[in-house]
Amino acid sequence: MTDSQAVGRVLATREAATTGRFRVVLNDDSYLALDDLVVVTTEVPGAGEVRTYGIVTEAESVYEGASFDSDTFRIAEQGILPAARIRSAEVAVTRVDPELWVAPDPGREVRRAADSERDKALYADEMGRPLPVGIGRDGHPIFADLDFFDGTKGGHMSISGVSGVATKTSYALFFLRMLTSRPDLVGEAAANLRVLVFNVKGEDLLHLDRPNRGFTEESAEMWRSLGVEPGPFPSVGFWAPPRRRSGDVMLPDTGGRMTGIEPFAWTPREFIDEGLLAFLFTDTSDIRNQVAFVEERVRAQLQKWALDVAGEPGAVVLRKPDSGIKKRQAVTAERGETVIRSLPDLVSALEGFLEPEDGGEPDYAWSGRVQAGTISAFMRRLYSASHRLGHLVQAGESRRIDRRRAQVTVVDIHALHDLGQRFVVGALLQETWNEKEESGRRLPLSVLVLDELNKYAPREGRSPLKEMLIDIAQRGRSLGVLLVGAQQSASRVAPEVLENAALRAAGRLDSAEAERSEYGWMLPSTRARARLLKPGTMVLSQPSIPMPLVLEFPFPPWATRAEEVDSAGQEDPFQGLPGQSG
Amino acid sequence: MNISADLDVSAGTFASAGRIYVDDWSPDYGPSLDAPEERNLSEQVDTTVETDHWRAMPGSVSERFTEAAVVDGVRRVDARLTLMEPFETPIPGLAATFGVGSALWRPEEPSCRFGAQGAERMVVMGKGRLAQAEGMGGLRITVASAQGDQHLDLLEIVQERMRQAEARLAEELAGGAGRLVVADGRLSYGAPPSVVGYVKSQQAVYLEGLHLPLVGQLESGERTPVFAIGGKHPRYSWYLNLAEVPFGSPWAGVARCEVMAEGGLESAVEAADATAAWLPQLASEKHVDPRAPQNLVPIAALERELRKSMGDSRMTERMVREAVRDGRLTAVSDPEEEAQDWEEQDWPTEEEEL
Repeated sequence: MTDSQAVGRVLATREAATTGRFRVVLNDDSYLALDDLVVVTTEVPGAGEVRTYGIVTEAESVYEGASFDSDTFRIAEQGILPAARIRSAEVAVTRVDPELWVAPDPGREVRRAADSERDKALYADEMGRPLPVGIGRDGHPIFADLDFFDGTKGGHMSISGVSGVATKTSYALFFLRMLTSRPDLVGEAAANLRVLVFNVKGEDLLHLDRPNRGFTEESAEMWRSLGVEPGPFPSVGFWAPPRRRSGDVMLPDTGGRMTGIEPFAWTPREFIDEGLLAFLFTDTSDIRNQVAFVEERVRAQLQKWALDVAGEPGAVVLRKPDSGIKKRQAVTAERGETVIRSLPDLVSALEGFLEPEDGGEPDYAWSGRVQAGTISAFMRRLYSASHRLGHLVQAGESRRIDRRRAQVTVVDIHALHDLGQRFVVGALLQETWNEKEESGRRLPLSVLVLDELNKYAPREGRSPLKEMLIDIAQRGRSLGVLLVGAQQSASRVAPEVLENAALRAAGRLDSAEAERSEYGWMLPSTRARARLLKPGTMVLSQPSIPMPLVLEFPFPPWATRAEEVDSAGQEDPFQGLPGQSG
Repeated sequence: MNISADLDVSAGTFASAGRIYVDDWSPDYGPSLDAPEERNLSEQVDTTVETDHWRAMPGSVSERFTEAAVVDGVRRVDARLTLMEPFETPIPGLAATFGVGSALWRPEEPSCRFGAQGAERMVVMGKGRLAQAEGMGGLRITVASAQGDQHLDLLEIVQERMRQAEARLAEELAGGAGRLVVADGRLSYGAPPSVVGYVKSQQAVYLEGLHLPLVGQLESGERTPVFAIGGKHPRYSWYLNLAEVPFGSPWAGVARCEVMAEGGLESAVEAADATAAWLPQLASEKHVDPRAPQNLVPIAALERELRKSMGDSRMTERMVREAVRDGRLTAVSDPEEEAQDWEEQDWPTEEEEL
């Protein structure tokens, strides 16, 4: 029972029909456009009926009977040359059912694949948990097999595209919305699913919980066709770095939105216990010299030496460990000891060990036997870090980000210096990773969304952050830590991270970028089109379909800028929408 | 010359009087039947039928015509056959295919499309012998015999059959309202009066003396006055110029048209005016067609189309060989009994084709 209609016949004059591709010459009253799905039934001698499913990758038209280019004028303008307008389409085979790889017979009727045949063409019938991830050219949903995202068979997603027009972040969020709104499909993995999103550009992601005033009923229909009632994210926690010099009251350092955003910071105690010092040395050049060695040593020393300060939560003093004081016992600072309440305090304490003011030798227990130049390099970086992200380490009540508070946690790092961004990302990824590593269980899933991945896991060089991302990419699948990474140029991201992404998506690509081997998963025709993709259109590849698919995703119902916030609809996100009834 | 061992069919196999062999000579071999046009000197030319004032006349299309139809046929020898009979010298035969069709041009739209067309295979035997044949590529097969035993005699039978098919198609097309029908080549005897014969090359010249220079002086779109050609089958004729040919001779762009005289002078003049106005628009260009400008664009396209409808020549030759091998192409012992009256066979009408 299909309402598929005949569109033409298999052509095999210009080039033979093969198991991989064939050409369709179209009926006068039909057409095939790129991405249309077709099916051909071929009677194979001795084997019965074989259905070949395919997707249109190119469409062509010629005048048959014209031999010179100038014949075009004789046909169309002067009208003195009889010729037939022949339209044809090239089809890339997606599936042969049953799996008998024969070429379709020339002259066989080609039909549009609809309903169950469409599902077959897109392998939707074989997907255990098909999650709608966009809308195909025919207006019907395109599915991705969740098994290939949540770690069952594969994990991670990688999104590439030119900034601004490729709508990478929008697609990532759309995907998250689908993931969090369809517990019916996601199954047990949906329970306690947590998402950590880094807001790296503008304040785009700080309004996810608010309706978009530009949202139309048309877009709402698209959402509904995907099985989701459109609306802002219901459960989001927003976190931003504290303002510098905000006094005793910590205020988030954001511009467009002030309410509902929590400031975050780490206490010196947390900084030391979790070894966050490592994430101050995330420049890929750091690891080449001995600075990393000093850092490791200092990090270990700090953990041994740090003691809580009585009456000052989060602050520490550094004291030689053999003093008979238990690890978690609070002490009072003794003479000559500095209470470390911030990163600058810590840096000046370390200065005392590594570059004593009297010009004496550094304390080898802290520095190891490295050259003086290395120590100065280490200190130089510390000074610069303390200057740029000093406000992220403050004594006082713990202000660390609580990812359990909401399903989606948005951490705003856009206003931070690169060094600060890498520090926060590193600290949070490590926290997430350690948690999961300790539990050793895949569920509940933890999804990380990180744009500008090339900053954190660049192709060249090494850094603790890059190592961690590679670790997540390689082992995160089994531990339920799933990375949704986005980047302008996949060619500038560590290949280990890219290769492990089961789902790959691309929006508009730069022409030179599109030719790179990182996009080998695209067909040549798709690559050519990737330069022309409109915002809201993506190419998606997944292991369960041997072809990349072009899909659209609906306009977000949540605001992506302060101006888009529909303040009137704060209570009822659909109030004021045309055609909205109860 | 005949290397026919693998196709040797024993005489005892069939109830036939002789044996047919397929020659290995290329079927294209042999002179063209488009014999040079020769003027029969008994045909008197009268240059005063339209006007006493011998001058170039501009073309114009009467309101009656809205469409031009060109009719043409192409033929091809697929295989040469030899019939061997006891006590006889080898008797030649041939298998040929021809196609006949039309292209319809509407200058108003403007557009050109193919009209009715058809293809047919023939098996012609010399010396009055006849073959019987079936099943060669789905096309209708006509058998015929020629009295002579020369290749040209056989070809002439094919040519004649094709001319008749062309004439029939032209006549049918001429029935359409507002249609100027132009058939490629000289008119055969018995051509319908409404059909214009279009002669591309001027091997015979019907004008002489003071009337002759005008032909070379014609500008594109002009014609000579209509003149009458007498004789057994009187015709009206005129020269027209299709296009300026750079560095060409004065006659380089000239073509001649003719209609049967029985249609009357008035309709001949009307046709002359229309051809002078229309045919230059259909003229081809040198870099596109080696027979430019006379080989009109729709005619060249039509010939290509017809060759396509005749099927691939190598495939056809193979079919003939297989037909001989399998006994589907055999000689008839008594030609008188089996002779077909192929005049009766009808061609697809325009309506059927479209």
